[in-house]
Amino acid sequence: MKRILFPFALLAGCLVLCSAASAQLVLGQYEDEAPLGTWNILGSPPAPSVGLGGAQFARAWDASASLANPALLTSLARLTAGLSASYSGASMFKYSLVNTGVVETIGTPSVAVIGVDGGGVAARLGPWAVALVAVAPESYVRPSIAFSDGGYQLNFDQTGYLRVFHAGIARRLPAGWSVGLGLNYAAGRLDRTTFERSASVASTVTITDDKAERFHGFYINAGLTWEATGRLTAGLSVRSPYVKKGTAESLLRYEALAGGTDIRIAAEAVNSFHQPWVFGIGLSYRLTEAWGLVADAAYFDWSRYSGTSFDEPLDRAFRNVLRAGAGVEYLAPARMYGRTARIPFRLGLSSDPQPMTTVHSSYLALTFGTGLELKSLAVDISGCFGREKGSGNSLRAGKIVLSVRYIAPK
Amino acid sequence: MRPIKLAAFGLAAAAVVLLACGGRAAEDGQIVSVAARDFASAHLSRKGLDLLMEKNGRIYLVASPGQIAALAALHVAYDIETPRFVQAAGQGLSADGGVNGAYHSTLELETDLRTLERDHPGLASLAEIGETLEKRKIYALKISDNAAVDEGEPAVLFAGCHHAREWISVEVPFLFGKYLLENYALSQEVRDLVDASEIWIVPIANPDGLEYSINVYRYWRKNRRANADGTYGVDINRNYGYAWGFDDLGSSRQQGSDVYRGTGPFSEPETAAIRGLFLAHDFRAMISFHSFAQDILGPWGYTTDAAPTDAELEAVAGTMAGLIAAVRGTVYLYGQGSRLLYLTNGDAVDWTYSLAGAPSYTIELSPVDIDHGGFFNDEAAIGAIFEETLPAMLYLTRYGIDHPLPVRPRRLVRREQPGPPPARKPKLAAVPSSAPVR
Repeated sequence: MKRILFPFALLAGCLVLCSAASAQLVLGQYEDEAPLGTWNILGSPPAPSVGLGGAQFARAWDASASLANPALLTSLARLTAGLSASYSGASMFKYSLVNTGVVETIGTPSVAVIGVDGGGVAARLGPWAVALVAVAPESYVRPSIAFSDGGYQLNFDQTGYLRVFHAGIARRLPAGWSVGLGLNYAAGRLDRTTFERSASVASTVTITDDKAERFHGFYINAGLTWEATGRLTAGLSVRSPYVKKGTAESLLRYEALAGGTDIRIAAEAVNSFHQPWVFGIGLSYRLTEAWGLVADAAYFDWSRYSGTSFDEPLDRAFRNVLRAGAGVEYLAPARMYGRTARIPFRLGLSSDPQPMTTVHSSYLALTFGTGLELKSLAVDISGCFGREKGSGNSLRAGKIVLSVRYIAPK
Repeated sequence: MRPIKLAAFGLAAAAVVLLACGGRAAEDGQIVSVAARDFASAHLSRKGLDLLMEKNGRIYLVASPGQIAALAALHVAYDIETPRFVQAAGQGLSADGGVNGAYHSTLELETDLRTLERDHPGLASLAEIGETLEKRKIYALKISDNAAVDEGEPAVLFAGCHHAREWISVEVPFLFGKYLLENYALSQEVRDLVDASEIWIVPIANPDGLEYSINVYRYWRKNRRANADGTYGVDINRNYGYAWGFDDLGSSRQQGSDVYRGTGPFSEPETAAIRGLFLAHDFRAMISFHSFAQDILGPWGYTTDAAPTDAELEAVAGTMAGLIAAVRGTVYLYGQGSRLLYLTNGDAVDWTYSLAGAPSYTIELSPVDIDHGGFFNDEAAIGAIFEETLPAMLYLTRYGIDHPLPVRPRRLVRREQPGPPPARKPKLAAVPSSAPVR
């Protein structure tokens, strides 16, 4: 009974931890609503996937695979649960008032985020499999500004996140086929504050600019896998477009005590961001019991991206992009305390072009990982280190992911 | 400097006397009209009322609440005319909403200008006079009878938002255009002006900068040029061709400076657009709206030497200051920009004036200082600020119609780039040391 309860306790823990979660897969910037690191985010891959170039359409390790391709749930053990946490850092050159004319930095600012990526449980019963997952795939945090010089003070802060709550179901079909469907509820927030104060003997002027957005949306994803042979698995995946929509509030305020001046310009609106279709295809090939290969490609339909902020359309000239990743895995047999174990070694590459057309920016990342797999417990740790080309700012990004998986014994 | 300013205001008041039979400017006054016969029989001219004009048998006055009560006590029938004069102000603003509240964004302005053009066919014609670095359109609204036809009539330009953070400078020229169109059928004065002239309204000369000011940093001033040193922006009111880069006092060669003048005269699409418009028509007067300070600043900006038509410039500015004061007593100082405020070279006013001597002014709108809002104005004050400046804009339009310029081209100086700067230093006493440039 305890074994049965454990994964659900783990999921409950995930849900609680996700309330403070903000870590996600590296890289990015460019617009206020841009996820930290990269625009091209689908799900929240666990450490083994990160170590293999982010491949996630044809191979599953835990319930989080359902976010990318729910059909993969049929390939999991009878009962699994997983939890991932990460430390990620990304450098950013231009964002908000930084290096766009107001605040110039020496070097490239960077921000580091530590948090829970997410977790979930998956269960399989006969040909059916189901999963419940909670993840925090996107963070909107930016490096803060705190500048002061004499009587002058300037502060800027931006924080925010997106959480996704997912339920997936899959069914094994004849001839090695599996099909899956996922329902997803996304909710998040984005908060920005700019504070400026000029103080002199004669007067003190304070200007504050606060903006707060809350948004949510619903989308579905679906997938198909085909185990062609015992060695080769192919996966197809699609995520529906959806609208992140919600209330936004703004308050612009000017205070000058000497003149008794307190001017406020307040606004409320419904902001919306139309997220694109995503199509994925993946292959997983096991060369031997020890060696395996995976490769993925995800097509993001960013040219249809649009948004409305405070009743005005956002000008986003985006292009469609194809993100690709591939990796190789070696599972070294081992024994630990007299028990059979495997130590994975993973190496991968990923190419992650960004959708902006004004700057053709793309990240190339080297990924690697290792861990320990026991009969019912696996711990994986992976790193991803990427460097950007195209913007001229040589941005860097890195992430270290730790995942823990519980696999119920047969 | 203060006595000079006071003297200047005195002259403005005198101009009101000359223009409108004078009187004490009423605070919080209303514009009222009374029948001309009542005005005479009740001896109202002796009761300190400010007389604005006489039209169609009615006398238009500026009256304080007390004076309005006095009219009632004298059983003089009167009509409150203020709403007619400011019909466009404070109502019908489709700019409502958004993080900038009742102020216009570039998109809101485009929408409103197209609405004005659509609602007033024949009287309004919207022109795209340029495109910015970020591919936004710069619009000019032409108001005239037969607006779609170039009839070669005298033209007057009212431009706003050279500086991105000066949001009120968008609203005043826009509301002026709206007022003219909506009162064409109601007011003989407006009809006369519109029929006899081309009134050009460019509410946003710097759309890219305005959007940055709205969405990123409220105090942004310049355009959005990506400079070679990694900084952003050219001060487009230092980028015009006359006396461009005359010295490093009136503008800066430092790219990061708030008054960076750019790589050359008219290097920026915004100034090139205004140049194209101005050279294509017979402009006889011009106002470039800015904020803040409550000043009317005439040429020259680049030198403290007097402009060739200094007396005329002073008289027109004084009259405008008086008309502004007559509405509710708000004091706008006036004088040569370089003397009253500070040196500026490559600004719009010097360039438009340099072509043929068209009376050209920078009007620094309310408030008077940073303690009363600086570049901020309460949304509720938009209408009042427009209301105050409306008589001055009407007056300058009439002045432009009635005062042809000498046959162009007339150079007021011998060369595009004037000689070395004057030896004497500009008087900057009017500018608080901590005040940002305007």
